[in-house]
Amino acid sequence: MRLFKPRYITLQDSLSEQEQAQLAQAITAALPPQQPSEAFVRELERRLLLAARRQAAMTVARHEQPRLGIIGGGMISVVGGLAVWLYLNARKNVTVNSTTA
Amino acid sequence: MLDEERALVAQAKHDPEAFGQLYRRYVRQIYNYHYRHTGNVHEAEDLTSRTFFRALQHLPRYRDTGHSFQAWLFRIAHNLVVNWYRDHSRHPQVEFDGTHSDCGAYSELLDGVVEAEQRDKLRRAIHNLPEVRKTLVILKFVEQLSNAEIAVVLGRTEGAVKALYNRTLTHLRRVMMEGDPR
Repeated sequence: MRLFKPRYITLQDSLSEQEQAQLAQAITAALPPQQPSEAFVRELERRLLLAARRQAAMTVARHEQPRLGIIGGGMISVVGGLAVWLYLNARKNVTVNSTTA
Repeated sequence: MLDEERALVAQAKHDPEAFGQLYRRYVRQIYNYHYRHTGNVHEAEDLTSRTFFRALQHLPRYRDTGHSFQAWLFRIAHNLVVNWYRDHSRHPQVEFDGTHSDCGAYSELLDGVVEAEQRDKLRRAIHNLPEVRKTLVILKFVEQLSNAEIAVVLGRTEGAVKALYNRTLTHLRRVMMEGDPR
């Protein structure tokens, strides 16, 4: 717990509210807004939209990759399992045929 | 952050058109910010492009922390400006000629408020400020950001921003009363 409140010593003279307002008005007047050319604004917008579309497409692709991986992996497993089952089944049939013969 | 903007930012993470809307909303402010620092149209255009491409790249990792998207964007712009100052190790040598945009008409309108000579003097004083103070002045008076938003941009506390704000205004007033800055 703090026993004492921090004390600050003002090192510079402060401005009255009226002085602040006058100075603020003068600064605003000294720095009029500067507008970019319309050609620049349009061209940058075109480039940004292009980049944004590319980025959005890449994000979708990145999100799709795990799903495609799961589906692909699942299909390979099913096909592989089926192949093993067919192979074992075929071998079993061969063995049965040879023993009956 | 406004709900409408929050929704737009969330949508922009996967929808290029929504990002386009955010771009159109802030491109002029970001350009103005860079121009005020560099004093050069080409540098300002280059930094504006890099700000938005970086924003696009980092947008998927953007988390709503309660601050405005604008502050997040200006933070990116500010980091690029800091690098720009470091790479060039200089303050802009180019005087703002005001030939770009409708600056002339705007200035004429304000002639009644501030004398032209005083205004030039103040402009020079602002140009000669250190980068952080200049950023503060631009964000506060040109872009009208709140102290909390400026704190996000500068990576400081709101109290530190207020202290810096007071010091900067005091310095500018002294320069205006004494003579040429530095």
